[in-house]
Amino acid sequence: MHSPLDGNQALRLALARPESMTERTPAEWTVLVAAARETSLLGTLWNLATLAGVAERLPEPVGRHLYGGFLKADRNAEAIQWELQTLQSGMLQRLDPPVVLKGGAYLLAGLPNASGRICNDVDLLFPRADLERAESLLFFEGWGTTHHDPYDQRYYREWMHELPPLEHWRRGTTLDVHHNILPETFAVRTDPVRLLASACDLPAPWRYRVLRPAHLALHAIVHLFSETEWDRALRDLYDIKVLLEHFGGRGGDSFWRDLVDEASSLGVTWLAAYALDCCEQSLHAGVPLEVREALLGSRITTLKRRAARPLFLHGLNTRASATPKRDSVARALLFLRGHWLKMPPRLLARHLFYKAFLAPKEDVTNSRTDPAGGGVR
Amino acid sequence: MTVYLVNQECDFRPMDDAMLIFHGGSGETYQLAGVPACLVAELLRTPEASTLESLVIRLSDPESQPPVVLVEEALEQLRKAGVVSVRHP
Amino acid sequence: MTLIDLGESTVQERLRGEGLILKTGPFAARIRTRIPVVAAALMQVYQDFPVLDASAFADFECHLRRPLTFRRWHRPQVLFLADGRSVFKPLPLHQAFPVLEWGMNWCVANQVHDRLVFHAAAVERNGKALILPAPPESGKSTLCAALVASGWRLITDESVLFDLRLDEVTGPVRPVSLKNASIDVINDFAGNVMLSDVCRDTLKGTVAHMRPPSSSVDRADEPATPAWVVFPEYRAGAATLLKPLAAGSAFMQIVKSAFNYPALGRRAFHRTADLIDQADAYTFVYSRLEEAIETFDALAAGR
Repeated sequence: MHSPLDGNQALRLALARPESMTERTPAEWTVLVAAARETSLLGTLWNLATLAGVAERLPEPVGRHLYGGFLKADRNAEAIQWELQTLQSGMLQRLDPPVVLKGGAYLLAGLPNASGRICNDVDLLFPRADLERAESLLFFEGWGTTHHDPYDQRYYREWMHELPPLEHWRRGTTLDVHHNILPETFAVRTDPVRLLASACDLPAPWRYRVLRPAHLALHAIVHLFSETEWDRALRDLYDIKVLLEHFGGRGGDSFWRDLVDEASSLGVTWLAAYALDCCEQSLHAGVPLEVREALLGSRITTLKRRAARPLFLHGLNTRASATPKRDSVARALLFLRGHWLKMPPRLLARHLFYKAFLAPKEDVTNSRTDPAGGGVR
Repeated sequence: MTVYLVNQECDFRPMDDAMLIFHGGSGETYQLAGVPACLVAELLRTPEASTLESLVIRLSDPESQPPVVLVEEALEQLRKAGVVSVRHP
Repeated sequence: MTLIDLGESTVQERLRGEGLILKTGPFAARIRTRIPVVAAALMQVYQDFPVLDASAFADFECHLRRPLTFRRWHRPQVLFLADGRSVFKPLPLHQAFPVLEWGMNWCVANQVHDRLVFHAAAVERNGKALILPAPPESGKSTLCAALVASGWRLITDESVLFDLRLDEVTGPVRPVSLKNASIDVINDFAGNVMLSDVCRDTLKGTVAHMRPPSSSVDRADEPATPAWVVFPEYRAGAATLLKPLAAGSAFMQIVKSAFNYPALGRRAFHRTADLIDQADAYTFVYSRLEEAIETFDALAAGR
């Protein structure tokens, strides 16, 4: 008998070693399902259980939740593909094919983390020079801005790496138009030209490009490790693990060398080191020794990273946790850290001051449902 | 049976009084009374202009009901015209 | 082991401790709360329901607590948390039990994706299910309560489940939620029903919950074949009228009640069509419950 795992331990183990799912007790499944639901990983678990040949051996009600998550993801994938198809056959034909990022990229490139994964919006990367044109072309197809506050507009346009999110007036889909992978004001500045120059075409019928493998993995890394909200962080970390292992397995040394070199060229080796460390600690990712050494660097940075480790590991936890207090402290610190990295101190102070005292208040009641009328209607 | 309508995957379910269409991409569902025939005729007339929405709007108009033909026959004609491809599960 | 076997003090203890795992048809909810009134309310309407022990699997993680703000003491409020996340606006503390009911409904509506979930009531006779989808205020629950009081088996008052492969209807059998005038109407209609204490001034007005008959609870896992889909409408003073509804229209109407239709897409489309193919659809206008029951008894008897 082992002592029962909490939801986070059980979920991490299931992601790292899917066969372990057969070892869970019903009570452990309760918290594991809750943790997977919170991080939108139910469908991923179903996919992993199926690949590991254990799906049929899961307790019946558990299998139902995982399978249900998979069905939802399946429908989501269809909707995202259609949205991308609709976009590519419209006004965007007047521009060079944009790079599709994140969930859309995993889906179109058929990467192993796409199956069972929920993708909430479409992310496209354009060369900076095409940005305004893309925005106006999209406007004619019904894509409008979601942020009407002039401050927010300025915040995005001057300081961020993307336009304020666009929303389709009829379909309600969200589209993020990026020109870089990190904010303009971030602690280091990544060179988008480098990313765009080596992006690869997707096979027909797609008229999009995807980042080359090392850049795809590095984008997943910088996205999570510069993030202020760590709500679904475990899902994002799982993406990183799968991308590293998948490309590492196919490209071997040349992928790993490219990863190390590009991390350095883009100035994000330090973020990659945190990511690698978390992937190993949390999800038992397999990374070759030389890569570890090249990325993890000197002893001093190793000590610094070890000190920061609990912050990330607690931040990765879901609410099905045995350490809820430490998790919330970690999340608060990660929030501050994310902002600190995103902006130089004076700008940050200005930004937070505006958000706290001057910004028009959002309708808080909108964020949660009214229980009247069947709970959700 | 899966039908691709102008490159977009649609599922059709004939009911007693109506044809139901599910548009795989947008996830929208349409109900068209007396449809297969209308759908076919309309599509054959203007294949390149047909989006599902415009089709639904036009076909929902009871004033413009074209004559009736059989569903299977209609789909066959459509396939020949290259407008839809039909896939049986 | 049922709630009544366990006794109120043990129920209270479990709610305060590791949680009470309440089994309602196919679902088990783990409920945790330190709010005292909840145990008593559970005893009133869930007494015949099975309770699972702590080592069992629970589908839903339900937690009811006061907010951590000053509203913990000053005009105290209650929050419902699913998986630790608050899903409703805070509501006055005296509504804790209705909030728990709405919260469990929310879980079924939002966390079940392996079968179609319709916002509807369903009752059964001779293995056949009568499904009553309806928007609020249509008198769906009143009709459902009256049918149950007249010998139909309660499948569910709130969430009809339709399997994605088998042509079977099930539901989490749970107390029937009655609002405002319906409470007296049901009390007058059937002397034998057990209602919970009423809770006033909720978002839905005054609410009370009807304890399902133990025979319905015992048969909670038993599926039924969908036979009739009836869209009820209570209209004061109206003559009883059951009218066949064309399949296409029935489909479009019931889709509006399907919680997870958008999430399941194509599968939901075909399964909803399958359901409508199998069942006869009707609209039903009524004002007198006795006549309504006669109508459905006749329908079940094939008259």
